[in-house]
Amino acid sequence: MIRILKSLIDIFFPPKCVICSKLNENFLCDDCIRNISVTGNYVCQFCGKPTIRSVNKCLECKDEKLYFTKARSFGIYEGVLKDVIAEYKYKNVRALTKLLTQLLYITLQKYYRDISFDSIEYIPMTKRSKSFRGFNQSELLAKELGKITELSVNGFLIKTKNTKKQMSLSLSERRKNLIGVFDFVGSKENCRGDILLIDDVYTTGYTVSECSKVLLNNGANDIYVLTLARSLLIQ
Amino acid sequence: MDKKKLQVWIYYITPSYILGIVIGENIKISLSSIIIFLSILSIIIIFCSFYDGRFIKYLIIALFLIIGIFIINLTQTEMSQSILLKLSEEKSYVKVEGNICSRPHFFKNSVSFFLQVKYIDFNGKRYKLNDRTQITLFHNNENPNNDLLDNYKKLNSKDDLKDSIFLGNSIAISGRLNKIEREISKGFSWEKYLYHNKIQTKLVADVSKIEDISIHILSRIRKYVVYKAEKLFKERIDSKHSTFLIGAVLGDRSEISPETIEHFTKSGLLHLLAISGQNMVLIASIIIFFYRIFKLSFFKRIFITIIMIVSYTYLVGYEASVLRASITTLLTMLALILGRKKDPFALLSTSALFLTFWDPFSIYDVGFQLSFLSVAGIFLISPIIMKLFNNKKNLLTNTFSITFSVQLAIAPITLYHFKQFSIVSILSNFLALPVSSLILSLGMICVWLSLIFEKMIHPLLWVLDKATGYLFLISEFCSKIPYGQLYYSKFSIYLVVVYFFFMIISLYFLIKTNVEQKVKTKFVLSLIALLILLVFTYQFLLSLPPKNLSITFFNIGNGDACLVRTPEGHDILIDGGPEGKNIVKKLHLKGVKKLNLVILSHPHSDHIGGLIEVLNEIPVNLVLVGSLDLSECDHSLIDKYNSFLEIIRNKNINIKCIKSKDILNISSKLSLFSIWPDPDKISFLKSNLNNQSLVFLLRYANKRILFTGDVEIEAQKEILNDFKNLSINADILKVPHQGSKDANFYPFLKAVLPKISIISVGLHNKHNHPSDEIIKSLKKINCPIFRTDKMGDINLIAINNNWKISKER
Ligand SMILES: [Zn+2]
Ligand SMILES: [Zn+2]
Repeated sequence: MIRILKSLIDIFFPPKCVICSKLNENFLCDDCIRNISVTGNYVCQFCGKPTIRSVNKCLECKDEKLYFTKARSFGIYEGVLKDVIAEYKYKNVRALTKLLTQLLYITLQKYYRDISFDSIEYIPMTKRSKSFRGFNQSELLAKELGKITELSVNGFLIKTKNTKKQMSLSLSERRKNLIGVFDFVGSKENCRGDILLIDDVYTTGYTVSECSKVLLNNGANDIYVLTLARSLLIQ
Repeated sequence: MDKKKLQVWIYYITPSYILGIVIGENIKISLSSIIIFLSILSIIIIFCSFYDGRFIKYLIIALFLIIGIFIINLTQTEMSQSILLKLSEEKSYVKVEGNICSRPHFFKNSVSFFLQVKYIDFNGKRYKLNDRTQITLFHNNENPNNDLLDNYKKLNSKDDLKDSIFLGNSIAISGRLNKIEREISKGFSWEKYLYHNKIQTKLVADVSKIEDISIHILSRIRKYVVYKAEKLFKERIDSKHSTFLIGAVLGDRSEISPETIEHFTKSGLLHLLAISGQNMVLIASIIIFFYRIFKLSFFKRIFITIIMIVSYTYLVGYEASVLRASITTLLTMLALILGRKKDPFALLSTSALFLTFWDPFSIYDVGFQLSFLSVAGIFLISPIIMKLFNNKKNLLTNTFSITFSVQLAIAPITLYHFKQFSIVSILSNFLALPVSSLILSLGMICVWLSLIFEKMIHPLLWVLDKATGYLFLISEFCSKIPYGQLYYSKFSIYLVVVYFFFMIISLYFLIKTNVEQKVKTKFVLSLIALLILLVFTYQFLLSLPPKNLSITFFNIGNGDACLVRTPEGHDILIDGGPEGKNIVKKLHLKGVKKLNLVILSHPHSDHIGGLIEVLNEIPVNLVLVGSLDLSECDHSLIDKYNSFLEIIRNKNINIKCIKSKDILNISSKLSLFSIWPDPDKISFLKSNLNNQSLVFLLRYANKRILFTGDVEIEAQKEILNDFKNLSINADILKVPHQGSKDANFYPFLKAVLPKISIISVGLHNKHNHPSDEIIKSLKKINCPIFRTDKMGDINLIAINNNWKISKER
């Protein structure tokens, strides 16, 4: 039944690559995926920033107090990947969820294969901005990843205050902007062990760090961050 | 899934379905054979989808081709079984009840609209049905019958009539049903248009025969909204501008002046007067703008957009272009809900499919065609134009590439339907596009706001007034640019096909092949150059004089208009027909750029009306009139004649008054011999202006053509007396007074003894012209008759000693 409905929708909204408009069932064709700059062999062992050689901590995260244990991303936030995420978040092409989750899963296999996670969490949005966008992209990705990995997706985090856009602030303001905006709702018994935290883009790491802090305070052991893209705007 | 199977199915479905409709209208296939064929085909499809995906594409094409044929055949069968059609064959007197389903057109003493008939009372019985008919109501309020006086009191003015006759209102009317004869001819005809609107019958009634039932609450609301906005526009905005706004924002074009329409047509901005896709896009962007401010939730804003689009579509009536745009917008909303990316072409094809499924005849609608072609043009051609600018995106290049590609896409269709294409439209749209968006969006905001806070929008209305003024300035300026129009009377459907064939091939070359961009740019530039060359060559060829003497009697309804063109380049126009019959356009289509001589037979409105338009538009050397005694004519006629003379004075045109037996030599071969009126004799014929008509013989080499204006029996007797010794014999006779029985004088016809007689008369005119008597008289002298109501424009070319007669529709 669902397949019939899907093929009916395919007639009126043909599945095409969001970047180059070639027909493709996953809404992103293989050629365009190949154009994404994937994080390579050498990354910062802590924050996942692509580096020239393997380092334990890079220039960016050296002096920062970040609460998560590790962070990794699929690719660099530029070119095709940036456009795809924009289509996904702002143009509402939720049909991309499956493919983007696949990309997350590849990254999970690449960097976190040895870790057995207890549950998955995602970065929350305030109620207002979620209803404005209609969905929370991190939530969709986390839930889809949960299906693939057969891990439970809890959603214990909520965002209580609307914050200013991170992009518009200076580095020091960004940190302050986020203090105390995340809260924990849910049972502390289920919040334990190693937790995989999902977000779409990692920029300064403050957002994921702040969420990690809340989770750690409520019983989690280690937080591993997994994002689609890693922003390199700050050198 | 197999990769080969992935297809944009809609690209195959819609074209094959539309092709099926076109084929099906011309080929009758029995229903049972279609059903058998359909079932066989669907079984094959089911099998193939399991075994091999390769053939499924062709099967889908075939399937929808047959569905198209099936649907159109079904519609036509249904229409041929219509009860109204059967009753109209016997001209039955019936009472019909239903909703007004088209915007009514108000004329001087009649109003005309389509009625969706729900009930019909006939022979004391009431039947339920679902059919359409055309209604024409006459409200001749000059001398109402006494027993109808009460009704006339209620409905004696246009505004009162508008109270009950408006789109969507329910009414009942009694009258006699008449069948509309459908002629099988190529090109556009009113009867065909009616048939494609599913109208096969018409009902003509007196306005007193109408009952207002008006139970429809929604249509009352619509009327209230429109009325409120109209009132506000009229109060606050210059009247010329407000009629434009009412047309562009609310879709009611009935009050826009012919002058405005002419300027907008000539400048290629006419689409602004119609509700178009642009309005819907603007509504969507207005709503987006508002929920950015109010931070409305995703589902709320989709909901509001859908409500607004649907209600606006209802408000302005369901024209094909409006429906196209609103279906596209609704599908965009659906894409958002489903989380899919919208594909512009799939959207366009889907909405075409829905529209044609709902009404297969909508493919013949000009609005439908223009709407789809212009959107397709924007998506397909404008990226190519943008590449010429090296993809530099700014307001200038963007506007240019959009207007240019739209005009390129709609040019053949415009030429086919209107025989006219505005070349300056590229310039005018370029200038108007930014303002028109502002006007339309402001206008729509004002309509909505006028319902809540009336006072607050006064400053908005001021801006609206100024912006519309600017738009009028653009349209007036662009319509005056010389050589801005392309006239082509013979643009056939084959030329349309050839044009699109070449366009598709060039587009395929430009989009799908991997040739270097440099080569492609050269190709595009040379194509544009070729087009410009073609246009100018055509314009030049058209302005050349004909090889032989050519005479055209125009079909301009009830009235006279005749063009004489000589190989020496002399162009003469005799009378201009009634007002508003596009005589100027007809002259342009003939390639007339100037007129050496304009002759007015007499100042009745069906002769002088069009001439006033001609004098305003086309340079004229000399105007010829006869001596007149207007002492017993009414004021409106004298006013009209005076305004005619005033234009001649203002434009410094030479004017000459001739009397009988004067000879005017126009060239060595061409001369005019005047026969009537004799100034000494008109005083006792002054009670009838027709008898003061100019009668003259036009002589070219050995050819003689007699023009008679509207002279009736009395004057004809005088002429015969005067010309006892002089021959008034002629090759061609323009039969006097549209063949009225008052002009039927056998001795006169016998004296002229024409080889060919022309009756210039309108179809279904209320005077019942031409009369049977005059046709009998003409048959008695064995003269073949050619009528403009039957043939359209009649063209006579003198070849050696014969006349070659052809008709042009
Ligand atoms: Zn692609
Ligand atoms: Zn680091």
